[in-house]
Amino acid sequence: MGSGKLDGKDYQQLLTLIAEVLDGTLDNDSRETLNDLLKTNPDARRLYRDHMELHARLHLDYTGGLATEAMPVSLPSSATSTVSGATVTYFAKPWGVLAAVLAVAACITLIATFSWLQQSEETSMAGQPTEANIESFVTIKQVRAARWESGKLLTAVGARLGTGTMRLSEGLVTLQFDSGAEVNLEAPSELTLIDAMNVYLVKGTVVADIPDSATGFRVTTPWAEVVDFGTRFSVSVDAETGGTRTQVYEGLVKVQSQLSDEVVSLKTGQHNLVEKGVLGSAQDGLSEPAWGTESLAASHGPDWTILGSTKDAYTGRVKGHESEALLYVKNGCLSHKTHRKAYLGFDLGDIDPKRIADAKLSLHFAPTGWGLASYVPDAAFSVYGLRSHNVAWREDLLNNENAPANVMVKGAGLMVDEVQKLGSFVIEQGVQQGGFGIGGDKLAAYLRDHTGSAITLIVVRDTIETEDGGLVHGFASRRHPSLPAPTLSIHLKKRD
Amino acid sequence: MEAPDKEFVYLLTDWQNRLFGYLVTLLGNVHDAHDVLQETNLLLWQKMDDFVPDSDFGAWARKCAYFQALAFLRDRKRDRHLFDDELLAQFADEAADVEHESSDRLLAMRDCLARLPDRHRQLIKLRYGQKQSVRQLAKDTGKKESALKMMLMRIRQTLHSCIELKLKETG
Repeated sequence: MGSGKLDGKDYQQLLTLIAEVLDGTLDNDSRETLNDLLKTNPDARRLYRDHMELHARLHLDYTGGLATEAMPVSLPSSATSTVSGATVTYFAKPWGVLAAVLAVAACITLIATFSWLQQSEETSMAGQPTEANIESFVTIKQVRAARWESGKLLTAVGARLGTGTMRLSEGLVTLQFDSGAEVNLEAPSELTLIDAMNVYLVKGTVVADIPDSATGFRVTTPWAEVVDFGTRFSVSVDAETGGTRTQVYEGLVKVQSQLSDEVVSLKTGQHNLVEKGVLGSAQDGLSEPAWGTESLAASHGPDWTILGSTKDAYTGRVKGHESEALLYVKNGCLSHKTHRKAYLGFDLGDIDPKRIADAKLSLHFAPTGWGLASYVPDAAFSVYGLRSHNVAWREDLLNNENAPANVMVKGAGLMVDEVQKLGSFVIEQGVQQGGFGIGGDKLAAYLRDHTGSAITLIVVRDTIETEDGGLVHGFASRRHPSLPAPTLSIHLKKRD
Repeated sequence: MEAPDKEFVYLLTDWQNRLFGYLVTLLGNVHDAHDVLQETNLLLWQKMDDFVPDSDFGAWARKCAYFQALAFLRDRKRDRHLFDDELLAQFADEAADVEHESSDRLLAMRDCLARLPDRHRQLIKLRYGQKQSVRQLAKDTGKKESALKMMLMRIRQTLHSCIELKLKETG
């Protein structure tokens, strides 16, 4: 907690504390936390003030409260005794138009009293906190490479959870709701469990598998409500904008904007976007460029050219074991089949080589569900570029035999004369998710040498598993339904 | 006592909602805010002669409200207060920064309320219009109290985002 901006965690905590203030359920610890948060952070004070004023306005608007047009111009007789003697004299004579205004003004104190008398249970600070609700409705079914941010909920496999918020910074967690709904939470994400049929996705991605028993399961987001009608679907919320992308893999869901009653139905293979209260129409297809790429462009600014892979595939596919959405990478200790390498094709087009100042390759890793993380220590990956221009290979036919520069027998080996190493990165043991990649001079120089042609980059894992059956790493291919494709970002200098 | 100045009456009327919002911020609930607003109005009325026409009525009224709030809290010192004096002073110092937006905010809020899904608007109506406590709402709707609290929190958050967006668009 600092004096700077309100970060996501503090923001959610503050919202919860505000709700407790409004519900009259703030306990002593929470009160101290609230005081600390507000004292040290001006943004927190602003948010608190906005919410309290909103609460006050809602109260007034719905009760007719103090609003001038809602004020009676005659004095409620039963309240006369509460008026001070001096005030009452203003009502003694009829003063025409001004009298009405004065009556209104004098009534203000009376209205305040009246509203108070009519008021029911708006609990004051002295009120007793309500009993905490400890009823549970979710079981944690599976946890993969999970790293949690602070949160009040339990996080172990088999744990039973009730209402609360979970913040996952890495990994993948499968939640089994008592309604039958099964929900995968993919990091980085924040999910509030409301009840067995309702969740609120603050940011990140959930993939839901909904049986008939849980038809009507609802995922609410800052801008949208996604209601399921027996299906498999995913919902992703942009952490910055709250924009909501819904994709349906099977079945039917209905998406509604939080700010209107408009509804869009999405069928199998369709997606839509809700942003800033605007409900996007249903679009066919699940593999168009994800907004991750768009936000990359936005975060890099207008001087960056962003290229998605034009083709990608991996070697060493094993039948019944393969993936279209993820590119598998592995360095096994036994079979040569498991030495999987990812091949990425990019079309550089006619970029002026002199303008290339910097470049980055971004890969979005996600759990493959294969192998044990325990058998692979911190894993080093290397990225190579094929020296030759326009080398032909087909993404649907790539295999160990025909993959350019591939050496089959030696783990992550490549034909050294045909490739140049452009960089490397390390993924900590147990981590299977998140953005990784390389950047710097070597990559920029390689791109300068290859402008105007199609290039091939090869990603290999240098680290060998310690025992057979180790973790298979994977990153999103250009066919992944929600994660960004492998992306080259090229920083271009201004033209001379 | 002389008839009150017309400008004073208009200003006092005009400032009621804002003073109420300010007091809800300081005190944390509408119940106490109503009480203190009533006392503040009486005080303003009594001190009407101190008010210099064309001067900053809002600043003066807010100052009175602030001191009335402190007096109210002092009288109720048995109860634990929401904020300590330091934080109350911080809120008092910063109050002037936002007041001019008040009527815009009200209009934006009404517009945003109209755009809420029926279900959510209904819940807000029950909570604020029928003045039902969350506990009572839970009983009436058959939903869990914790779930309702969470929903109300999210609806308020949506309203707040919507209002901010509207103010940004029109501002």
